[in-house]
Amino acid sequence: MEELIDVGLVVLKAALVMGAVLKLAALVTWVERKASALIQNRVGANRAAILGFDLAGIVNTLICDPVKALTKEDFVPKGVSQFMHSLAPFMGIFPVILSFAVIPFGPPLVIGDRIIPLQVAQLNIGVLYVLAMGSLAVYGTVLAGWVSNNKFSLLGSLRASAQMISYEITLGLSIIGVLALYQTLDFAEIVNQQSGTVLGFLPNWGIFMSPFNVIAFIVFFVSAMAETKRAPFDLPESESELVAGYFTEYSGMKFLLFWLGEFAEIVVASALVVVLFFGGWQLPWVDISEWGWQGSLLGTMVFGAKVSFFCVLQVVIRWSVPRFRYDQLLDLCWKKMLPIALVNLVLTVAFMLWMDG
Amino acid sequence: MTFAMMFFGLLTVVAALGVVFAAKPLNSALSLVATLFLVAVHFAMLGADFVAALQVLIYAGAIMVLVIFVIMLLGLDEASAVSKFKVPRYLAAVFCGVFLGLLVFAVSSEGIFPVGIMDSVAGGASESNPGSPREVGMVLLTEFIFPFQLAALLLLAAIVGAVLLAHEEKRPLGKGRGLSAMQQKNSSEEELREV
Repeated sequence: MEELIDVGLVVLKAALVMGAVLKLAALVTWVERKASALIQNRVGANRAAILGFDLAGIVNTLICDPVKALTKEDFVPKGVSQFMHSLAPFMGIFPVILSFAVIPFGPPLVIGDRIIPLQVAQLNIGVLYVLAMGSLAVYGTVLAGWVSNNKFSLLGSLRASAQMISYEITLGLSIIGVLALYQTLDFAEIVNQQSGTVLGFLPNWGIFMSPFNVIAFIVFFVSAMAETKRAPFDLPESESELVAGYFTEYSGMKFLLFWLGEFAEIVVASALVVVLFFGGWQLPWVDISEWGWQGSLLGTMVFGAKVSFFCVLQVVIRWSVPRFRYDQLLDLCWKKMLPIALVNLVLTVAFMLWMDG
Repeated sequence: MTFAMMFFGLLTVVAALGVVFAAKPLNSALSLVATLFLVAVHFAMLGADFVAALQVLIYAGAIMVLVIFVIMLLGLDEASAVSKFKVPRYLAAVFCGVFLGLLVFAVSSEGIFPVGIMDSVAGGASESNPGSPREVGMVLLTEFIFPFQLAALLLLAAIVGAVLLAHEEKRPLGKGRGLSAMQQKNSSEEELREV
């Protein structure tokens, strides 16, 4: 019986987290439309409303869009393996959702004698697990470009893979210094260490732990944005050159899956930033892990609020900055961010030694 | 041998057979990705989480992407892939058979491995985990620091070599910028894959 409850809890948590990520991703699509309408004065999204209620325009995005996509014809180009063509969007979205499994979204919930960690799987290699899943995300785009049998798709997927592999390096390098400060790869432990204050008034969040963590945060955030393949890093799908890049030959629900994967990536990137640099579910100056189930509820809400903030920030950046040229994109990674990340690592370790005396 | 082990073992074998029997190079490569991923699952079940993560990160995530890149860029089709073999096919079967026999012998006989491999399979994840990142890092940076640095040097040499091979002098158009230059580039990418 005990075992059955344990298994049931894990299944429940997995279903909840998956649902939450997909819902958040869908919400980001709505935010994206509204933000694009606001920032670039685009007509359409800023008129979406029901009976004058602006917020009700969310129905248009969350219900009408999927219905439209589901009823569209699923077009597969001639001479293309049907199986591979269908596999590509799934390969794109599945590592993104899987990587959310190790992210803690609240302080452990205590019911009776049972302690339920609010995290689907507590791995002692959580950070590596997320990076591994990120490295698998390349297959979706590569496969989509290859099976489409279209030169625009192939060019888009080649650009995407070069970009994703390059920025994976800075993504991993930028957080080594932070992980050296935490001395662990376990996300739950990382968040636990971010309680309390530093210097008396600042919350003891990752970004304030060392003066150099701001550099790490910027490099990590930029790399994560490049991994999501959105403007200013949207060269794989740049409309003005490649029609739609690697998903040119996709329509209907398969196209929507690529889209959803991209937005789920935004949510995962925000969650990683929050957990590594902004205290996860920790509320500044107050220790909510002692508050019982109310603490768990509040922690989850705090985590959701922080993640939402970074999602909106990414959307705002996406609509404010123009696209890079391809050589600028690779120069930024290899000639600027890579050396910065390496110097940051040395400085952080030096800071740690200096603090130890 | 738990049920999960049997299940994932079977899946691994099926995926590995897919690598050998797939007619198209790309399908074969994707099967190899699945195989490597499933091997990582086995590592994780044996309590070596760190090795499992590295397996996915490096083999499934980085090396196989490069292999698929090469397949995509060269545009190999099934006919050319088979006809390149000059050695009689039965030789391959003989060598594979000998290797399989050796493997079965090594796993089934006792005392060949310092730590009884079947014991660790039966026991699963133990309490004191020698496969945790901390332990592996400790050993790597103290006892095995020399081979570790040597491997790093080897990889550096490989990267420099690959860049040297792939590097192309800027030539004016019409002087080997066409098909021959493309073929040269392709062959250097093959070098990169072997590295």
